[in-house]
Amino acid sequence: MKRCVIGVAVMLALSLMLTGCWDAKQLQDMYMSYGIGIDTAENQPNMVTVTLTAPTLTEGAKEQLQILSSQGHSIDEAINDMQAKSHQIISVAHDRVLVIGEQAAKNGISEYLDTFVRNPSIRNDMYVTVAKGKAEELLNIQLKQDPFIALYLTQLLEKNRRLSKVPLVTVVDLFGKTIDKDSDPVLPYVEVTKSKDGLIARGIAVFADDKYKGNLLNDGAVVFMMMSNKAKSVNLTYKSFKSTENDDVYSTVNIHGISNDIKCRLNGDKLSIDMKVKGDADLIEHKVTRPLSESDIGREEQALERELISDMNDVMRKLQKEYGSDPLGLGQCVKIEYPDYYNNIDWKSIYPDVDVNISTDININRIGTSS
Amino acid sequence: MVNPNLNKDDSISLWQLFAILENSILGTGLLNIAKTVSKVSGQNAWISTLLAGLIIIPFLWCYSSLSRRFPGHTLVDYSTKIVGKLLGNMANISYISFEILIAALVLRIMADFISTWFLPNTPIESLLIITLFLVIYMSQGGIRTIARTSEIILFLVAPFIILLIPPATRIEINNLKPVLQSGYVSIIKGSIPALYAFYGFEVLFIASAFISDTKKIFRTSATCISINVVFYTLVVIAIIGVMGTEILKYINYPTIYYIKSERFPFFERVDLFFAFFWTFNIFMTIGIAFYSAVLGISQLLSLKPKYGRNVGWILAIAVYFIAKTPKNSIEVTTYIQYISYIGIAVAILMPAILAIVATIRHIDVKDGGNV
Amino acid sequence: MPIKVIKRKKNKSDKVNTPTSSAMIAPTATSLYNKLEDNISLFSALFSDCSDVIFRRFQIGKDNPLLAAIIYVDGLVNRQSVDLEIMEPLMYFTRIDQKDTMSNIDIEIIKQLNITVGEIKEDQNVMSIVNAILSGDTAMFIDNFPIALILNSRGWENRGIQEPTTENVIRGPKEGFTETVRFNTALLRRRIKDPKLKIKGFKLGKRTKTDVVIAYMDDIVNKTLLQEVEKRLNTIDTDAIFESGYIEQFIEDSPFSPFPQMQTTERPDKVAGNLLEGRVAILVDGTPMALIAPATFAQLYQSPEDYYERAIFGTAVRLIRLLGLFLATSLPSFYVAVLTYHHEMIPTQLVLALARSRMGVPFPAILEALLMEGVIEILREATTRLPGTIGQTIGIIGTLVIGQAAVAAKLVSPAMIIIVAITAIGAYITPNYSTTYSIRFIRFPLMLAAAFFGVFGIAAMWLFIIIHLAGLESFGIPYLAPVAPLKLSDIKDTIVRLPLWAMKKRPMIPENRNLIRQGSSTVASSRRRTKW
Repeated sequence: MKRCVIGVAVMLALSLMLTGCWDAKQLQDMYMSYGIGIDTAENQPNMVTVTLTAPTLTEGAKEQLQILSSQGHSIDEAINDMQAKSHQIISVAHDRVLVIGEQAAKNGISEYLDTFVRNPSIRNDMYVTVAKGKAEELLNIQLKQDPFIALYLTQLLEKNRRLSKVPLVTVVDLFGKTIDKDSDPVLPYVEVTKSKDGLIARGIAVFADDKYKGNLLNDGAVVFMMMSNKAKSVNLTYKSFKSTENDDVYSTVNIHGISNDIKCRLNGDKLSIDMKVKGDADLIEHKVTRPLSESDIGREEQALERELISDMNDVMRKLQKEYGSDPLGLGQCVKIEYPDYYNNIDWKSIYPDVDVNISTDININRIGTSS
Repeated sequence: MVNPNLNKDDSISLWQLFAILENSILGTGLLNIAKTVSKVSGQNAWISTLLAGLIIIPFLWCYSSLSRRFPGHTLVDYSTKIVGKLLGNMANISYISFEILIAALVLRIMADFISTWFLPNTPIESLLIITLFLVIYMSQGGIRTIARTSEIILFLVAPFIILLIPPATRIEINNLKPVLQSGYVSIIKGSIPALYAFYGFEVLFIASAFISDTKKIFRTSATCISINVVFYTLVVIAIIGVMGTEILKYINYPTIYYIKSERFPFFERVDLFFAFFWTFNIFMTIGIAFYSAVLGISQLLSLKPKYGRNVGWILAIAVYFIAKTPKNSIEVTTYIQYISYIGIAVAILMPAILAIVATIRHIDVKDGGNV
Repeated sequence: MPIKVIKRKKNKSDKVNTPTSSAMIAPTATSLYNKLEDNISLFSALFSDCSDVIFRRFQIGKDNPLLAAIIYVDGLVNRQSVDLEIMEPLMYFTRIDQKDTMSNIDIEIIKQLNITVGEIKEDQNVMSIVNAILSGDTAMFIDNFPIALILNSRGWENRGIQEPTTENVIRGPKEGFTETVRFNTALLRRRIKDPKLKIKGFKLGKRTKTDVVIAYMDDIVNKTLLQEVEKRLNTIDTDAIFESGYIEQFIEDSPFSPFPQMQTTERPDKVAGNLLEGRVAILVDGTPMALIAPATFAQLYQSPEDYYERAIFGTAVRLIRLLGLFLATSLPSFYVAVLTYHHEMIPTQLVLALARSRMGVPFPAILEALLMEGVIEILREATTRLPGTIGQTIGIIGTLVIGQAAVAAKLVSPAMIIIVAITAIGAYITPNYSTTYSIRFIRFPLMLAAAFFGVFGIAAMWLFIIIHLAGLESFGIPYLAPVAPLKLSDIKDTIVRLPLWAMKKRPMIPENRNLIRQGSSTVASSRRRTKW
C-alpha cells in the first residue's frame, strides 16, 4: 500500500514534469479587451471591421486606452490580424459589451454571433447594443468622465435598464432569439453626443429575424418595455387632465408591478390579440397647486391610460406595419394556443394585419407627501 | 456466507451505498441531458427524463432481489450459478466491458470538457493520464476508500447545486408549451438518450456485495434514483424554460450555458466555478466504474488480492486507448447513443433475467456448492 | 495482599550467592548477595566511573548495630528526603526494641517502624535495582539480607507547571503538562477523580528506559482499541525514547502520510476530555507532549476553548477554522491558477488593477508564489528557533521590510503579499501544532499543480488528498470520521458544537462501551415559563 502511494505520487509528479503549461499566460502580457465593435467594412460587403478597446496596462501611459481595429472575412480573422499590431496576447474574455454598427445590423447580425457563442471564454454578461453610425466611431470617442468607454457604456446600459429605457440583451439571449423563428430580437440603441464626448442610450433597435429595421425611441421604448413584460419600474410623463387646448400641464408617474397579459382569440379565420397592461403608479410630480381630490386621481388615471394606449398603439403599428417585427412573441402565443392553425399559416405574412386590442389598468396608489 | 474473494472488513453502510450510487450517476449526464433529450422530444424533454427514471426504478428491485439471494456476493460470483458457466461468464464479461466503456467514455467527455472550458491548448492525453493515475490510486484503496471519498465529494459538490437555482427565475412558461403536442412516440424515444444520464446504478452488481443489510438495498437505491429523477427533470425544465429548445440544437453543454445566463453579484464566471466542482463528480463516475471493472476482472480470473490490485494498471491502458478512439466530440455523442442502447441490455434487462431465472430455479447462496 | 515476610538469611543458603572473595563478584550477577560488602562491590563495579552515584554506609541502631548502605544518584533524589526520612530515623531514632536481638530482626519491622519514606518496594533483581537507582530511587542494603529496599526519594529539579506554550486558551485552565510523567498523571487524576481512570506503566527504550504510561477510562474505552495500543507499544524495540514523537512514529498507521494520526497536546484538560470520550492517552516521561489515539481529522481542528465558550461561538469558531484551513492550503494555488490560466474569472475592475500591479514583475505567478511562500517558511523556521525577543525582531524585519522592499523592487506584486500573509496566518489557525506542518506543506504541491494545469490541477490534487485522507485510518478509526463514514449523531461535535447538555451521548467514534454521558435534565429544558 505504502509503496503504491509513493509510486503514484512519483508518477504524478513525473507526468506533471513531463507535460507542461501549454495554456499559461501571464496577466501582464494580455491585451484584455473590454469592448468589441463590429461594422461592415466599407466598399467590401463581405468583410467585417472589428474594433477592440482595452485599457493600457502601463500606468502613466500617454493613452489610457489601446484601440485596435482590423478587417477580415470573419471576426476571428480580424482579431488574428490585429495581433500583428499588438505586443500583447489579444483576449476577448473580458469583453463587457458588443457594439454593432448600424450598417452591419441592417445586413443581419446572426453571422457575427457564432463566434461569441462558440467561444467558451466569452463572459456571460456581455451585452449587445446597436450604435448609430459606426461602432468603430463610438468606441473611438474620448469620454470626459471615464477613460474606459466600454465600461462606461456597460454601466450606461445597466442604469437605463433600471428605468426600463433600454433592454439588456446578452449574446446568448440574442443568439437564441435570432435562430428562433417565432420571435424577433430587440437591442438597445446607443448614440454618440453631438460634442463627441459622451453617449446617449436612445432607446430600442428593432429587428426582424436578424436584420435591423428601425427604432423605438423615448416613450416608445418605455411602453414597449412595458408591453414586453420586461419593465420593472418606469417613469412616464404625460399630459395631465388639467391640460387645456393651449396650455399643456404635465405630470410624471412612476409605474411598477407591470404585467402584460397577452391573449389570442381565433374566430373562424379571424385572429385577434388582446393585451392588457396592468400596473401600480406613484405620482411623483404634478404641477397643480390645489390639493388633489379623490375624483382628480381618477381623472389622472384616465389621462394616463389614454396616453399610454395611444403610445402603445403607436408602437404596435410601427412593429406590425413598418418593421414587420414580432419581438413581443405574439407568434409564439398563437403557436401555443392554436398550434394547428399556426402550422398552416405563414405567420410573418399574417402578422402585420392582425388586430391587436390594447387596454390598460393602471391604478395610482401613492401620491407622495403632498396632496 | 462470506465471500472468500472479498475482504471481510470491507463493508459499507447503506448511506455509503447511497453516496456511491449518487456519485456514480451524477456526472457527464447532467451537462448534456437537455440537449440530447430535447433533440428527440422537443419541449417535452422533461417528460422523457421523468419516464426514463421511472422505468429504472422497478428494475432496481431485481438488483436487490439478487443481492438478497446472494448476500456478500457480486455478479461475478452468482451469475454462473444462476444461468450456468457459459451464459454466466458472458454476463460477467458484458458487464465488465460495459463498465470499461462507461469509464473510458466518461473519461473522454471529461477531458473534452476540461479542454474546452479550461485548458484549450493542453493536449488531451495529459489530462487522460493524470485522471487515470488518480483513478488507479482510488481503486487500490478498495471499496472503503471509494465509499468515503464518495461521501466527501457528495458533501463538497451538493452545495453548488444551488447555482442552478438563480437562473431558473427567468423561466418562460411559453418555452415549455405545448405539452405533449409532439406525440407520445417521440417522448418515449427521448427517454433512451435520457437513460444515459442515469447509468451508474449498475454498480449495484458490485457494491451491493458489501452491504450487510441487504433488505434495504432497494429502498436506498430507489431513493437515490428518485432524487436524481426529480433533479434531472427540474434541470431539464429549467434549461428549456430559460433557453428554449431552438438554441439547444446549437450549443454543447447547455447546463453550463444555463448557469452562465444568470449574472451573479460578486462572482464572475460562475459557470467555470460550477464546472470546477462538477469535475469532482465526473471523476467519481469514472473511478467507480473503473473499480467495478477491476474487481470484476480480478474475481473473474480468481486473482489473489495482491495481484488483483495490479489489474488496474493494465486496465488503465485499455481505458486510455478506448478513450482516445473517438476522433472528435461529435463522434463521442454517437458513442453515447450506443452506450445508451448497450446499457438497456446490460444494466436493465440482465439483472431482470438473472433475478427471474434465480427465482424460478430457486437458487440462492446455499445451493452454491463450489463457491 | 498478604505481607511477604522475608526472614533474615543465615549464612548458608542454597539460593543466595555466596562468593568467597570479592574477585569473584561479577557485574553480571542477577540476584543479590547475602553480605553487604559483596553487594556494595557488585554495584560499585556496575557503576564504575559514575561519579554521580553515591554510596553511603551507615549503621542502624547504637548497640549491636546493623550494617547498612544506601545507593542513589546525586541530583535525581531529594537530598532532604534521603537525609531526614531514611538515614536520620535509622541512625538516631531507632525504634527497634534493643532487647530484641538484632540478629533475628525482620526486614518488615525496619520497613514498618523505622523508615518514613512513603513508597517502599523490595527487590532482588540486580537489573531492576539499577533501573530504580537510575530513575531516582534510593536503594538500601542491609547486611545479611539478600534483598534491597527501593525507597522512593525521587526529586529532581524540574520545570514547574506552567502555561502551555503551544495551545493557548483565553478562557480555561492555564496548566500544561511538564516533563515529569508523575506530575502529568497527577494533573489527570485531579481532573478525573474516578478509580476507573487507569494509568498503566511501561518502560520503553532499551537504554533510556523511559517511563511511558497509557491512561484510559476502564469502563468507557473500547477493549480492542486498548489492546491494539498496548500491542503496538510492546512492539517498539529501540534504544531511546526521548519524546512522544518517537513513540508516535513507531506506532502510527501510515508513516508517509503528511497528516498526524495521533493528537499531540500539552493540555491536561484536553487529554481528560478525550479519555472520557473513550480514547487512550500515552504520556511519556521527559516531554510535556502527550499523545491521544485514535485521532480524526476533525479533532485536529478542535480546541478545548470551543467547549468553554458558548455553543454558538464554539460553532462559529470551528467554521472559521475550516475557512482558515481552506485558505491556507488553497489560496496561493487558486491565485496562481486564476492569474495564469483563468483570468476571466477575476472581476473586470480587479483584473486591471492586478495586471497593472504585475507590470514589470519579471517572474510568472508560480515563481512569485513559490518565492514568497518559501521566504515565509524560512522566516517561520528561523523565528521558531530563535529566542523570543530576537524572534520577534526578525519577524518584523522579515515580514515588513522584505515584503515592502520586494514590492518596491518589483520582485513580486502587492497582491501576492496579501495572499502570502493570509496563508501564513491561516496555517496557524489550527489549534494543533503538528497539523500546521501538514497544512503548510500541502500547499506547495497544490501550487505546482495549479501552475501546470490551472484549476484542473487543483481539482486533481485535491482529489488525491481526499482519496488519501479517505484511505487513512488511525488505530482502525477512519480518519475522516464522522463525516466519511457518516455518523450523523457525531456531527453534533464536529463541524458544529452543540450545547453541552445536548450532547447526551458520547461520540460513536471511537466505539465505546458506555454511551450515555449525562442525563437530559437541564435548566434550559426544565425552566418553567413564569406567569406575569
